[in-house]
Amino acid sequence: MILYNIILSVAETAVEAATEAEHTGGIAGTLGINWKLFIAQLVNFSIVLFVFWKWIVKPLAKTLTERQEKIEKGLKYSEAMEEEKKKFESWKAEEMKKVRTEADSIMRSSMEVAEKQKMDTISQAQKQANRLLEQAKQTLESEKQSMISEVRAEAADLIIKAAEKIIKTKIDSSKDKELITESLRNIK
Amino acid sequence: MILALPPLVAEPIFHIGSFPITNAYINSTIAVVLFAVAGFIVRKKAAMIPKGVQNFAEAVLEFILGYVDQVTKDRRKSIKFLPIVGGLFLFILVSNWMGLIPGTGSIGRFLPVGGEIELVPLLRPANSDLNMTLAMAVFAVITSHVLGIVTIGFFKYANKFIKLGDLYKSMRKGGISIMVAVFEFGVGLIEIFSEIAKMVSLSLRLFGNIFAGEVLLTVIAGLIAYLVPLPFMLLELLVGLIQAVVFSMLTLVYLTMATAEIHEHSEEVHEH
Repeated sequence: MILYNIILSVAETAVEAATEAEHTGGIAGTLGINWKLFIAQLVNFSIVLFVFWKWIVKPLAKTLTERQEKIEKGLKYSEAMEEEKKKFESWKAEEMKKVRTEADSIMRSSMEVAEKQKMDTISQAQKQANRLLEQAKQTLESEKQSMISEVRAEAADLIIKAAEKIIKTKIDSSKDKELITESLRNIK
Repeated sequence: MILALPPLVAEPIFHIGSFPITNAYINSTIAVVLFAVAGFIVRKKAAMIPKGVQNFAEAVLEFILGYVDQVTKDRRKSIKFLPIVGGLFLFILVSNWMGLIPGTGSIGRFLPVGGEIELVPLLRPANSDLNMTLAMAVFAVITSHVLGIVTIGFFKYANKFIKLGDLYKSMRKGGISIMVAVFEFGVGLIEIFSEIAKMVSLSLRLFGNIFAGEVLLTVIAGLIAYLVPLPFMLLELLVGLIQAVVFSMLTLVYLTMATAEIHEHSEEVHEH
C-alpha cells in the first residue's frame, strides 16, 4: 500500500515537472536553473573560496613552508656542526700525538744533557782532585827539601859550634870522638 | 499525500524583492558562515609552533596537499591549486554532510505549492540545487582556463583548441603531417565542446547524487521511520565524501591539464 503510494507520488512529481517544463521553458527551467540564484550561489561559493584562501591556506601554507625551511636549516646546521666536531676531534688527536712526540724528544734530549753534565762534572772533579793531590805532593816535596837543607844548615852550624867548643876546650881524643858522635846523632 | 518527495527545484521560502531565497540557498549561506567562522579562528593563529585548532587545520591541509601532490607532481603548483581544490572539497563535503543533520527536509513552512498547501522544508542540501553545483562547475572550468592562459600564454593555450599554429607548422613541413594537422584541428574543435561537457557532467553528477540521496532518505523514512534509514544515512555520508572527492579531484585534473606545457615531442614523433 505504502509502496503504491510512493510510486504514485513519484509519478505525480514527474508529471508536475514535465508540465512545469512547459510553463518555464526547457530543461533549464525543469532543473531549476535561475540566473539570479546561480549568481547568488556563485557569490556564496566565491566567499567560501576567498575565506579559505585568504584566512586559512595563505597563512598556514606560509608557516608550513617557513617551518620546513627552518627545520631543513636546523638539520643542515647540526650536520655541519657534527662535521666540524669530527674535524676538531681528529685535529685534537693529531695535535696530542705531536705534542707527545715533542715531549718525548725534549725529555730524551734533556736526559742526555743531564748525563753529559754529570759526566763532565765528575771528570772535572777528578781532575781537580788529581791536581790538588799533585799540588800537595809538590808542596810536601819542597817542604822536605827545604827541611833537609835547613837541617843541613843546622848540622853544619852545630858542627861548627861543636868544633869551636872542642877547639876552645882541651881536647882528648876520646872526648873528641864522643863529641863527634854526639853531634852526628844530633844531626840524625 | 503521505510523504512529500523533494521536488527537483529548490523551493523558495520567501522573497527579497524579486530574489527568491530558496531552502538550498539558506543551507549554502549557513556553510559560508561556518567557513567564515573557521577562517576567523584560524586566521590569527598561524604560529611557528602549532597549537590546538592550527594543528587540526594544518593536518587537514597537509592531507589534501598530499593528494594534490600526487596529481601535480610539483609542490609549488600544489600550493597554487590548494585554495581552489581544497576549498571545493571542504565546501562540498560540509554542505553534503550538513544535509544529513536532522531537521533538513523535515522542518519547514506550510506554503501554497501548485494550488495545495504543502510543507516546504527550510533546509535542503545545498548541492541538491543545480544552481549551486553549476556555479561551482562553471567556476572550476573557467578558473582552469584562466590559469592555463596565465601559465603558458594566450596563444599557446589557444592553440590547444584552435590549432592554427600546428596547421601552419605542418604546411611548412609538407607531406603527411598536413593530414595529421587537419585531423588534429578537428579534434581541437571537439575539445571546445568537451569543455562545456565538463561543466555539465561536473554539475549534474554532484546534483544527481545528492538529490537522489535526499529522495532515497525521504522514501526510506516514509516506509519505516526507525532504525532502517540508518544504513542509508551511513551510505549518504560516504556518498557525500566521495562526491566531494570526485568533484575536487576532477577539478584538480582540469587545472593540471590546463597549466601543463604542451611538449614539442609530437613533431619529433612524426619525423621518425
